[in-house]
Amino acid sequence: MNSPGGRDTLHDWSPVRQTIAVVAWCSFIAAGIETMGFFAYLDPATVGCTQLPPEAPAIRHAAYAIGFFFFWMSTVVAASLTAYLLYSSRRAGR
Amino acid sequence: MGSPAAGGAPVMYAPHQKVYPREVSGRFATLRWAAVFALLGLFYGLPWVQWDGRQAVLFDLPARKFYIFSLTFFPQDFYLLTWLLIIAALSLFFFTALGGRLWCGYACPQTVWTEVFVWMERVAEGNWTHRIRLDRGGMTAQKLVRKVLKQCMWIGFALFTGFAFVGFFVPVRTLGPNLIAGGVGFWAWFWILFYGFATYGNAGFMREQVCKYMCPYARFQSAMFDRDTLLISYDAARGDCIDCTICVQVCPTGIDIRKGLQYECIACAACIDACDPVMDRIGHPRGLIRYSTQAEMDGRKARFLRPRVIMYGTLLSLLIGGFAVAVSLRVPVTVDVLRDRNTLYRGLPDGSVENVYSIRIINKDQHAHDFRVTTTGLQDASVDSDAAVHAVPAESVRTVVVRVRLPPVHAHGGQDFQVMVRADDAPRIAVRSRARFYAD
Repeated sequence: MNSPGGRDTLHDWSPVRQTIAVVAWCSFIAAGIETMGFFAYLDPATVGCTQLPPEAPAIRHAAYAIGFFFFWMSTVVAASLTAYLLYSSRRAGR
Repeated sequence: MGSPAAGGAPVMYAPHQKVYPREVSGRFATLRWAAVFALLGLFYGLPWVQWDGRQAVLFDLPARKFYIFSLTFFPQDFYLLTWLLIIAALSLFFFTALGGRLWCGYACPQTVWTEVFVWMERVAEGNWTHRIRLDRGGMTAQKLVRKVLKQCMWIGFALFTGFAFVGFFVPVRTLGPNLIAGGVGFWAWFWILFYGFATYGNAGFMREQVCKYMCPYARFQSAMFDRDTLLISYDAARGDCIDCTICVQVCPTGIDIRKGLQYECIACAACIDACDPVMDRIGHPRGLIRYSTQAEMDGRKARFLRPRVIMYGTLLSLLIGGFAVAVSLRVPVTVDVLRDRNTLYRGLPDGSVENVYSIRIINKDQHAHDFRVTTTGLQDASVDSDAAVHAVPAESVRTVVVRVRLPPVHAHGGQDFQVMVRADDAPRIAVRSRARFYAD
């Protein structure tokens, strides 16, 4: 809180909490951009068929969402591993 | 992060403490509320605007069409979106170089929504001292009522925000009734809850922590700063401070501006609004805390035009100009030429050679057109198809099969040529695509 005189104690997120938040958030942004780029070039409704199926909108709806979470998962894995390797090497070097 | 600090002493992490910003009014608070109304008005209102009998701004993902007023964009126009994002990023650089963290203080969704959430908190739980007392005190009926009221307001507003967000992707006028009638799919509900939850978490609970720990811009914005960038500074040399600490109490990120420029400062200018009336009351000139520049603080003249600003400005103007030209000259038709995968070429009884192509005509225009397919770059070629002209309805895609034939004298080896697709009724609409013709 705002005690007069400012922050005498360092109130901060713990490293673990910071890492989780940063990993989740940054990979969210990356996944969003990847999803847009990927589905701009690939229409999920036409994968494996030449004619547009009548249920195309439903397929696309689901594919965009699943695709987004797939990308998010993969970027979370990459970012978590990066964070883990950076911190564990720092700890090992101590 | 968990490593020892420079002096070898371990860094201690006290648990995060909630910031209770004291309410503030003044020039900059008014300006921010104006920004809140304008930006949130745009966000909640834009989906309801109609244009030509349809929603003016609609990102119709299931149909793969983006409508923005009179323009329709298709996935093939993705490069324009990339271009737009580059313009947005460069604008941020430009305005940061000029005005510092103006974005953070007035325009960032995090700031704008937090402002509304804090206002609701104030309505339900009272002003900042009431809120501190309420949180420290034990659970009483009154506390319960106030907390429940706050949660209801927050959750209701967050869900409304999720609804407005989905309204950019699903026709908003039928979204409400459909939600009630159960006519929307799982994903519409899912995204309303997802976006609503993100708003609730970010603006209700995380607030300044998003800026401090999660925002990339907050970390690198200082790279755009120079000595002439506008920032909020405390003029220590004046010696007028009476240590009333109101500037600390109003700070939404919980810092003391008198300790100098800190990366937590989102330049919301609440401390300026807090300090000015105090200076008035004690009869000192305003501006002990004020928008200033490093140069001015050092007693030098501030420069407005400097290499950094000129460079960002020029680049930005070029990009915006180029974007406007690209959008206005955009031919609303795209053509993809695909060779027949099964046979490379085929000899006909009369000795001529035939190649077969699938031509995908994407008519992005809001009118139907009749298209005629011809070739250039192949001598004496003839084009044969099921029909002389191919009608493609507005905003539709049609694939037509075209057989290109060459007389034996000209058919040899591989030859590059161009497929021309021209709208019969609009001479401006003509596109070409490269293709290759094979023969013995």
